[in-house]
Amino acid sequence: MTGTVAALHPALRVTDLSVSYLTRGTRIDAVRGVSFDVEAGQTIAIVGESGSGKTTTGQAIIGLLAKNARVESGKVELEGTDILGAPAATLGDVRGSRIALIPQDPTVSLNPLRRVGVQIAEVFRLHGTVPKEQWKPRTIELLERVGFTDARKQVSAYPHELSGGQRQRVLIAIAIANSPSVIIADEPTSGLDVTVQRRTLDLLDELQRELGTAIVHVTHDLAVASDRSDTIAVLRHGQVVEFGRTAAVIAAPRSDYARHLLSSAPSLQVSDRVPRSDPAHPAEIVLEVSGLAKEFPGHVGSPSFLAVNDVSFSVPRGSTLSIVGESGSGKSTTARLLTRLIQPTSGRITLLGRDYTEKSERQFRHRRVAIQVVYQNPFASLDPKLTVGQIIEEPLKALSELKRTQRLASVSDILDAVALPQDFLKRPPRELSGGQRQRVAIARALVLRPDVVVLDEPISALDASVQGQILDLLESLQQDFGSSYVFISHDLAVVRRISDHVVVLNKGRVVEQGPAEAIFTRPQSDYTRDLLAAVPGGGKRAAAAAG
Amino acid sequence: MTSENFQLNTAAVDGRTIFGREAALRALPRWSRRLSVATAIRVVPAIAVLAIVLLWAILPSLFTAVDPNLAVPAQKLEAPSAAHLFGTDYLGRDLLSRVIHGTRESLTGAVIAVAVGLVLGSFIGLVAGSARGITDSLLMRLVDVLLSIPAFLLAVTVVVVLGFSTTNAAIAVGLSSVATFARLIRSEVLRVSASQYVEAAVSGGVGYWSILGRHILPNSLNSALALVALQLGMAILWIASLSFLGFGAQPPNPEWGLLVSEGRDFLGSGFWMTLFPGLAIVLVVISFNTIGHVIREKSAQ
Amino acid sequence: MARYIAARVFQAIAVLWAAYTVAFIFLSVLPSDPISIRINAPDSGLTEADGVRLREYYGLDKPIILQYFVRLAGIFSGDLGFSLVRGTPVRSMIAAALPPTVQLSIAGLIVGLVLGGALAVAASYARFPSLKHFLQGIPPLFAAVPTFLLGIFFIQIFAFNLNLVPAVDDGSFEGLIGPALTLGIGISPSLAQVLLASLEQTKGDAFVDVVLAKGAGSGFTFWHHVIRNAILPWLTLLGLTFGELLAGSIVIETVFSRDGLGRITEGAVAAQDLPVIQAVVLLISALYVAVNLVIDLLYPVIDPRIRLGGAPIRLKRRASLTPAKATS
Repeated sequence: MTGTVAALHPALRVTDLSVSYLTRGTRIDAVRGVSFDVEAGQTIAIVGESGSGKTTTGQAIIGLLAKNARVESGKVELEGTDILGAPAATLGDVRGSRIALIPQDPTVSLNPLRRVGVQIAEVFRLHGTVPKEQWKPRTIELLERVGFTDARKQVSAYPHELSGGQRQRVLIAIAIANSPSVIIADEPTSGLDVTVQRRTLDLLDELQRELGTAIVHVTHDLAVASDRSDTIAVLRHGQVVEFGRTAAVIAAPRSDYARHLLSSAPSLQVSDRVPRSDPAHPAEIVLEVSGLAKEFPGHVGSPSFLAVNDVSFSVPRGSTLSIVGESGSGKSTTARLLTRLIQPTSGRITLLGRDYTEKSERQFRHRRVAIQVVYQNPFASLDPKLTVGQIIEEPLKALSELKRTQRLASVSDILDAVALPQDFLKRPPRELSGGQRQRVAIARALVLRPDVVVLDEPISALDASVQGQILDLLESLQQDFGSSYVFISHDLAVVRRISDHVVVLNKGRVVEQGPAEAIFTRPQSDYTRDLLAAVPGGGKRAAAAAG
Repeated sequence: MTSENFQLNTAAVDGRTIFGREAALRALPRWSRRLSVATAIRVVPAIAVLAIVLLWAILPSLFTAVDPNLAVPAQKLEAPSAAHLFGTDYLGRDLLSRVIHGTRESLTGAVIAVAVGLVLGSFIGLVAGSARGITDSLLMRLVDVLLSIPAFLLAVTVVVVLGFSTTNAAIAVGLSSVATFARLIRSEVLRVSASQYVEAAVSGGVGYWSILGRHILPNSLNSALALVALQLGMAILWIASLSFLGFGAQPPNPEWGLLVSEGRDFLGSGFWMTLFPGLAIVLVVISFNTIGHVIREKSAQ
Repeated sequence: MARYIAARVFQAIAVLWAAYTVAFIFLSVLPSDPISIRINAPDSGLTEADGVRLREYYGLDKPIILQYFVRLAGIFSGDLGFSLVRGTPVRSMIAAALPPTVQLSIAGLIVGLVLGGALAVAASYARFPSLKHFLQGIPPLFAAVPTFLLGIFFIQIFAFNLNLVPAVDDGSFEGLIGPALTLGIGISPSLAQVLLASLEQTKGDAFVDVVLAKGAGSGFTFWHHVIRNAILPWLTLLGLTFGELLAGSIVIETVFSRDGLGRITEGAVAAQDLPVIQAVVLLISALYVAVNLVIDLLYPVIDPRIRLGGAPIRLKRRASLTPAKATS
């Protein structure tokens, strides 16, 4: 805070931090000997995949470890004072005044029963930094500072009346209320749309410059880290495997793991994809959609909601069409319409030259052979009561004429194709990792050799290193089987890597569509340009420092 | 901040990261792998109690040679002793024998009650949850009506119609639990139907009945089982209460609730007449409840 | 909002009417009739001719459907008919019996809330795992003890052995202690278990970490944030508990020889006194439905998330331990 203190001690110094968890009598070492310094005004990014111990590190620094966690060793010095394992009273004094937290998921991080203004003013109340009559004006001031345009009104809003981005701003206001010297930001934007993510992180950067706060930014996203940090620490199995200036780490990682992470993280590099459709020999159109619309009836008194509005596109055989959009863009509704899980309000869907818009489920069922789905969350899309073999065999049983031995042969073939060992057939999905489960879901979708596969955010629930593997698998399967993909995603980097054709959706409407390269290099609409600009990656902060 | 725990849990099922533990777990038999020590400490006594009580119900003569209705006036109200472990009652009947012989009556009653509730309730719940629309609305309004009368009062009212006996008390208790079962089964059907794996099955071309049989019923089973166990406990309590009020089993039937009622006037001179049948009720109910809670916790994981 | 309230009130009345009708149909299929029971009673001194006159007097000779409408019309004018056993108007019987039962229910509810709440908070904040397990074990034990057993032992120990309270109700405050404790212990397990589960869940909620990160101590966090959220499921449970209280009074009033609705019900069931049973079912259901209606209307006041204009949205409640039994 003051010049002399900062000169003597870094804002935060973590030394040899080790934390373990005790679950069902088993000790799991989550963090093992982590050390780093952060100077005032600087940001360190703690990067890692799930289970790497990055969140635990953040929790340990601010003293909010889960009950079954135990600090094994280490020191956490906040401007020279060790606060690790400090008594509750000391922690209460320090937290909220000198060290603050910006939590992971803004939608669940505010008390739903209390007005946001009250929740901000609590920081003043707990630390007595602002006299009571000043609470309200100071709260309004803070809200204005974090970008609320109507702070006077929104100060008495309940959390559920605000959007996710707005709630994250309230949480930022809580964190900066007493101008702390250190902020722990635990995946502060992971649940937000890219454009909201960019605005939120820009705000945080701005506040940091103004207040000179040191930030510990915990994230799984290497691209975000490269934009928003001065130093990076890469964690794996609780240990720091790579540490250094951000620009240096991104340019030339020293550890294999960091190199692997960097190479598997899809970014906006030019795609090496060979277009699957040759303009000279137009392929057969397997799926065609025209004027598709879906209206959801509102509750009594509230208007109905047009989720999808006049969407048209066509998918040539063997190619990939991506549908991109932020939350609420109607991309998932479109996926459900294509697979006929819901009925369109108007418009036509033609599969292999035959219109199925008005067919009943009974008439359509046997034609599902031609169109299959892979869902986002492999933890929810596999029935926990069945074995992997039963799950993959199910569509064959329902839709093919094959005998049992033939079906089993098909299942075993497809398991090879998705690179899973044969002994998985008898195992329940709960024994599989996320990536393995998603391979099972892909096998289930492809076992019928469908003409079209709808992939609804198939990798967004997975770790970065697994994401790359699944994308590779999808691409090689497409070459082998010649299926067409409809790829639904919010992630432009992934889309660029895998698509031939891109449809950009916003609020249910097609903003723009065209060949992938054209969309990425020469976007026509402002919305697409905004989306592209918001994609993290490229080492913005490092570039700014150099320039 | 439970996220890290969640991540650790997912890591624990991921063979790569904690391979040693996985392999060790795999070596254990399947059932023990899924029961923690803390759970076992709760479940094993409960199962033991129920096993003994079940044997009492099936083969009472194996445990006592004394006729439960044999009154020996010379041995009235004798305290527990080696000859009469639970003592004797006001007519000189052996209480241990009466408790053992009363088991069948109490357990059968509970089973009948739960069977009535489960069968009718599941039917209503399944139909409502599957049919949706107007059928659903009508059935659920019927359930609302049933729920608008406190369940025990409903049971009392039904027993007026059926007449006073253990079986009728059981049917009455069963009828008053229909709404609870119907609600649970319906919500389970709706929950599972909305799951992504059912949607995936629809996309895979699986027909309605197969989805019901392969996905919805197996995935609802645990919740239903948990409720069955809890309702068995509740049925024993309520049937005993009805008997105590005189609306269930009739003397000289040694049904547990009735035994407590008979002992009531002799609390000062023979507390064991109330204590032992009372303990039997408490132990059996607690065992059923424990098993119900454990099933529920397991299925919530 | 006004439309929503009107719709809910209408729904409650419809449910009540249906409940009454169900009860009426149920009871009208009785194999024997109460007049015969009275005549056949050994000391009745009534003849068959008296029976015919009695049936005529009570309107029991008319077609069932007519009886139904006469009764229904009677209810709206406050006429609940006559007791077939005592011959007195049901309305005055109930009017006399309602106050002691309400008194007992409220006392029992207070005992249950205090006991259940204290057990849940103590278990949730217990420092040592062994103490926590011990406290967690109490509600399941209470839940397994039949109320009549509890009542009997209470009388034996506190009235006869220790002579602390009167053995039968004498209208004194001491006389209320036993029944209220017994009833309160009976309803406490579900209250304790639901609050405990809710407390544990709320303590794990992300917003609690944010409160702690503001520098709040555990006391501040508990009173300003945790308990407010954790207590919400109690609201739904309160409706259910109310039903348990009224039904529990049947057993408890019998055990403690206390006058009240429960006692009347017990007597009426034993004697198949239909008008009385019907009236009790109607009254208790009406109270039960009314309490649940008030709770439903209170929800939006307490939880801002379900405060919305006009639309009769189904209230989304947090999962509770017991199967949801309240009318929705």
